[in-house]
Amino acid sequence: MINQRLVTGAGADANAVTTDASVGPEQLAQLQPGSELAERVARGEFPATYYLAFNTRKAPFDDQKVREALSYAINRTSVVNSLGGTAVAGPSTTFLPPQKALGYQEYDYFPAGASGDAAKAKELLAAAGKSNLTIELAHENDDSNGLGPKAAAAVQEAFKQAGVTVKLTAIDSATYRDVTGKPATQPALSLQYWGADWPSGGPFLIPIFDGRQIITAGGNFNLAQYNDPATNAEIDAINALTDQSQAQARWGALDAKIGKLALTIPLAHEKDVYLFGKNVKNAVPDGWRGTYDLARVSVK
Amino acid sequence: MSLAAVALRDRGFVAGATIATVMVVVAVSAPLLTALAGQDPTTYHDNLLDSARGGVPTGPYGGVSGDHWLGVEPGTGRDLFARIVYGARVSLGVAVGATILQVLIGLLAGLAAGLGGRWADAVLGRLFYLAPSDPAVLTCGKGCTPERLVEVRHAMGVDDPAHVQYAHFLQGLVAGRDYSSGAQARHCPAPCLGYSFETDQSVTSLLADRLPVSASLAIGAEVLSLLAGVGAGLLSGLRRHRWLDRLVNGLVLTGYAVPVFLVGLLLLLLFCVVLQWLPFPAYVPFTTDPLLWAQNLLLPWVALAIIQTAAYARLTRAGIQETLAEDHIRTARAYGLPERRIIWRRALRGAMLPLVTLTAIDLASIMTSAVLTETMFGLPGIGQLLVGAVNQIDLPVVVGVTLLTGLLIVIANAVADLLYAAIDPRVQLR
Repeated sequence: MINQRLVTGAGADANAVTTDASVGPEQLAQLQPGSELAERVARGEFPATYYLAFNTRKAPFDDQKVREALSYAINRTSVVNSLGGTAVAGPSTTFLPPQKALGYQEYDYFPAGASGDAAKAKELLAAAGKSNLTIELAHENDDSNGLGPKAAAAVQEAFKQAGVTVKLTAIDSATYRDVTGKPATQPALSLQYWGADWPSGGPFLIPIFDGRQIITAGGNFNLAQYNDPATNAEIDAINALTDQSQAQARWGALDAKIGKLALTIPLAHEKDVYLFGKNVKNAVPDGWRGTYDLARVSVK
Repeated sequence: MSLAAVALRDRGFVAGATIATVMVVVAVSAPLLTALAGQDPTTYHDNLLDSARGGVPTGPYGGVSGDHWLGVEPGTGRDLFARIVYGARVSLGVAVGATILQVLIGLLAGLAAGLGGRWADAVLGRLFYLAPSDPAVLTCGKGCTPERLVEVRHAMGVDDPAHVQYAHFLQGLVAGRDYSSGAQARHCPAPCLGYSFETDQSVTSLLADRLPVSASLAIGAEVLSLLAGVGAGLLSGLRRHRWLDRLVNGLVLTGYAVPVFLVGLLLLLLFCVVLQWLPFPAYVPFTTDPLLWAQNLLLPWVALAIIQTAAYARLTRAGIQETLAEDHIRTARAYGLPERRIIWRRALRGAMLPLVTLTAIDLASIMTSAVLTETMFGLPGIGQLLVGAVNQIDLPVVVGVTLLTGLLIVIANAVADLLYAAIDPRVQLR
């Protein structure tokens, strides 16, 4: 309804912006180049990754071969479609989202192509002696955060092609973070979303991969339970750097190094498309948040 | 005539039974049907989606084709026919389960009511608070320590036995009550319904904030429904022209058959988007600007009226025809009273009794449960409050809305009874 109102732009709505309602299919269809609406759209990218989180302390995900096999099997096209299509999400093979500020470095160690490499996945599972695997996937009970039944079913369907049976476990979205963030209640495999707090690779990677940040009381983000002294030392070393560009490169390299372990399966990164009213000026998303600095937006 | 024969003569029964039978057959034979269609409900068809346009199906009518009879689901490309057929299984399960539960609970509540009003009250009141969630845990939130939980339990009074809690609740309603939270106590004046677990606002003030919105919605919608319904009922009830009767009936029933969210969306699309005659509705209090108040509420009123008119029109029509066939009308005609006067003073009056009852019930129900209408038109009314409270397990608010609903229905019925006496000389108040 918010977007419909912005499209119509009647009365006071001509002076409105939204920071909340990303466009849906109804509006995307009207955003053809040259249309009036195409002038009133702000496209930004908030650095964030949708991913599958393994708990590597729990079978069968303690076996790296299994994690790799599932990485080959994933169908990122399905996941992107379930998130709302290519206008609002793009496929990711890296944990760091594709923003230079975070030190993004490209890699794709387990190439799944656009729609998954089921044959390769089956081969790896057979080699690991884990054919006919049955696993559970935890997800939120509604789709509003992109971690709901639609995305989960996309994963389920892709893994099915590789002979892996996925049982879906829906968790109330209000308590999802609490359940998955407490090692005692954490599911072995869950759908997750991780966004940047700061335009740097450090704050993006540290809570997820620093072994000293495994919090048993709850509010844990190192869902892999990954604790590697070398990685921890590298984190400290980069944090000590004062040269921003050097640090960027090293965060990217660290992500590329950890990526080889398949501790997560990166699925997609976020894109933001916001409409604004006819009278709004300077509605330009800033460099890294995907949305406007409201203090800079004005009305004609 | 046997029962079956009677049932088969009833067109409504036959139609209902046919639909139910089709549902059951479809649900039971879901695997067979989807196999016939060559589809299953889980396979993703990414190639049938236009990803750049938000994952909508490519091709006309949502991707309808020889393979996908009803098209595919946006965002996933799953076959819609297969999903609907399998969905019938879920719906059937829910329907059967809900009916069984309903009978069971109704039986229990009925038993309690049979044992006396006090019992019914106690059972219903406790049903809410004995729900499987612990309100203290919910209120205490994340990182709640056991000690803190004990304090919260005490502050909320949920550590008392259920009958003590209930006594406190009743006391709060009529005399107000004090809540102690640690050092300081706060007084909740009567009628006290407690404080929201989510926002800590007083439930009484929450209800008082939203009641004007819901009342505005209900009163306007009722006025429109009555005008349209009685008008349509008169037109068709007087049977001046057979085609007019048919036309009015058809129109009114069409309105009745369309769900409110569809009517609401179409109205918004037409008047706010295409024609731009009206702004997108936002509630403006009557006391601030009566004109803006009416302008903003016009669309929701119309949406509700379109759906409600049918019942009023049919009642009026039936009432008029029934009254016109009675002896006193014949007598009045024999005396040479003008037809206009017979209709307005006699026939309509006879038709008004059932209308009064229906209006009373509808007023109360719109005020408390017009959730879809309120959501669609962005009106912060009681219905929205209730849905929000249910989702957040905010028990005091749920109880408050439930009590208010009961109160409104009782008041509405009492007023209806009084009006009966005014309309029908046979009814006397003693």
